[in-house]
Amino acid sequence: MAGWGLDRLGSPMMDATIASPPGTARAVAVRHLVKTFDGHEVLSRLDWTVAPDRVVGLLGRNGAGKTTLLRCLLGLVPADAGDIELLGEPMDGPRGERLHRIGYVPQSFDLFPWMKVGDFLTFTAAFYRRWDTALVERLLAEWQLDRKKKIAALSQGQRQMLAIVRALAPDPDLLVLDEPVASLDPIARRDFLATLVPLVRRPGKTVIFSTHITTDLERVEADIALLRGGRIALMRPLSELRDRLRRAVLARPSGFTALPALAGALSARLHEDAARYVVDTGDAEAMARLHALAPREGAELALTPMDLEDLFVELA
Amino acid sequence: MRPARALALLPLRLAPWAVLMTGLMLAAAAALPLALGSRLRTPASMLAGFALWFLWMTAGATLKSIARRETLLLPGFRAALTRAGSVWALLFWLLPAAAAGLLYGPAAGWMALGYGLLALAWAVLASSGSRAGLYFWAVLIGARFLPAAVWAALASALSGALLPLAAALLALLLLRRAWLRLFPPGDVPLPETPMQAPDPMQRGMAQPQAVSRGRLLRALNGWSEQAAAERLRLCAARYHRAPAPARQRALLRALLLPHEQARGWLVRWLLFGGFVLAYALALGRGAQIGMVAGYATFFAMTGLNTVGLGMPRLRPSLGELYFTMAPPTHAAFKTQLVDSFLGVLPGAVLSAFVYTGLATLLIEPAAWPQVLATTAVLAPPLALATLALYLNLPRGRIGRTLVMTVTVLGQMGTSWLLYALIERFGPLWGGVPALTVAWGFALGAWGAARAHWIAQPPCFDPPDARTGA
Repeated sequence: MAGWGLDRLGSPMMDATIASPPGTARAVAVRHLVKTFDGHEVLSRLDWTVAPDRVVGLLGRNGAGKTTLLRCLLGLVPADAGDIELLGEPMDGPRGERLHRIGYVPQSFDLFPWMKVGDFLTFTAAFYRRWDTALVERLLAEWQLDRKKKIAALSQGQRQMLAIVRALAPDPDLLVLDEPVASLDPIARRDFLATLVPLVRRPGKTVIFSTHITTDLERVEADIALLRGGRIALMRPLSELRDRLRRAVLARPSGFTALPALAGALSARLHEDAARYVVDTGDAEAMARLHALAPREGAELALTPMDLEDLFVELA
Repeated sequence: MRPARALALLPLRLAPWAVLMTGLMLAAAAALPLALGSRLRTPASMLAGFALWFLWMTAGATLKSIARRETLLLPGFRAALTRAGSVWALLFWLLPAAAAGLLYGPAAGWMALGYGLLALAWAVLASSGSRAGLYFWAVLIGARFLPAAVWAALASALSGALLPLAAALLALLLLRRAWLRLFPPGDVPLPETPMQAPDPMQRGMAQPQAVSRGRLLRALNGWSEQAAAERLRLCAARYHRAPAPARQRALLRALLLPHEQARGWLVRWLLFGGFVLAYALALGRGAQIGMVAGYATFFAMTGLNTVGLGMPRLRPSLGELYFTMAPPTHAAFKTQLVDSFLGVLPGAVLSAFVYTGLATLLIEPAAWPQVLATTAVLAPPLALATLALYLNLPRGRIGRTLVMTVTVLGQMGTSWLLYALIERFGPLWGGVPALTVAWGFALGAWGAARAHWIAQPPCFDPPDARTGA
């Protein structure tokens, strides 16, 4: 069985696709995407495919390039090289109405500060054939957003709420959320997720959700895509990650001063004199090597399950 | 001492050319009397005075560039600023005042101390963005109308021993006002137009500081905003009913140029008509009407630079606008945007009529029809050409300043020249060539500027701090 895309040294072995049923168009398809800023390659021949009807959590450390990737996908930042397809068509081709099938919540919503909330929504709604007025009214009321208030007078969290309302109102087929809940309080965050889940768990709806709050991804049972080293280093459904990935700790009384090599480990490091690995229990070869390694090193082996935050810390 | 030194040298780092120019002026002021004799002492002193005043303007502008509430949280910021200010005061106020005392006697030194402090305080206040800085010009204009007897009394009072002290006290009040202007204790006023954003939203941009507004101005702006919101709703409803490119442009104009509507124009004329009136009053009857009308037309065009300066500030909103409009291509998006900018022209042209009409009524009422006819010929192409020049302002500060300066000078020169041409040769022999040349240039400039603007890929990122906005 093949591994999941990360070798011991962390160099990516790409497997950035979750299979979609045959004949289904891909919501997002990226091939060999390159983006460089000031000579630094942020995205490095990145390949990524997202099937429709999925909620994908995009994880990565600060500066890993999550926002750049999302902005490149949407055509807000020109890519240096590579092909991007959104909703089955090339992104650099004529977009037109396709953009109306995309909802986008940017990382910081510093938009139209001179406008009032109501005027902003009136303006935006005029462009859409699909606009869920009932949903807008419900969310404005639930999140206590005053239509008569200027956007500049809203707090950062309220502005983020407004951006979410605006993105959800046209009932988009692809929703791209760039850290949408970073400024929300826990209640608003839960409200948002409770609103989001039924909306997006319908056929034909895809969500890409960049966040650092891993519990939110667990709450919506997202597929996890890990961006590291300019590539999607890992992409799997969360349930599979939980079921199959384990932390393996090799410990012995004398401790370890050097890390024993373990081919097939997703990550490896020394921690408090113990050798720690992340292993895929579905990778029979790697597991066999691990079980052989323990007696050879005179160490005890402990395998423990990991939550998403632990995984992020180990793999990102 | 490091923070104080950094603050004292900040003008040199942020505005090296301004400081260098000031240094050259001071050097010239010192060298002129030595090289060419003492008869040049008075002009040299005036040159030095102007250089020092300009230096304090630079210091005020520098202070404005770092004026954020967060700056006050820097450890020891106030103490460092006091020390840096003391060094500046010693070098660029006390020492020059002492030199004046040595050159012209103790009384002159005393006056240089008092009036010098007033001048530097005014420079700092004016460069902090306060409208109070403009009052000085009002005083200068008003002085034209003072009777000779008042002048004589003023001259006598100015030489009084206590007046420099009063000037120094007034200067301290001005400095306090400048400080409050830079670090206002209350809430920052909310933006009223796309071209202006409040402090928390424009980090990383050159700051157009939100101007604290009086009650009357707030009421007037609110009145204009009501009409703007109504227009936006109307345009949105019309576009939603039957989408069409022209209706989309109208909606965009309502969004991006909210004050380009009747109430907005009225508010603008109420606010800025005063300047034109003051100018016309200062010149008085008998002034060359073409010159005054040219100035009034030029003044009406100054608002057009908001398109060039405002666009970078709008960039964070452009991404949202892009998704909302869902254009087939980037070029289509930019085409709709650039064509919507033409919505600033009616306001500029109407303002030219209002300002020239006002000035003419005050100076030479009989020339009113002729001046308005000339304005009708000149203002539309001049406005279009000006918009074209402002549309593609360079990103660099120096290039941008250069283009803006050339545009302003070109505007003034063209206005005066064309008014003079029509005045001198009449509507046929002066007007027709003026019309041909002006429209030819305007259409050519606009076509080229528009094509260039559309060809550039759109930028959805906020401008960085260095390039400013």
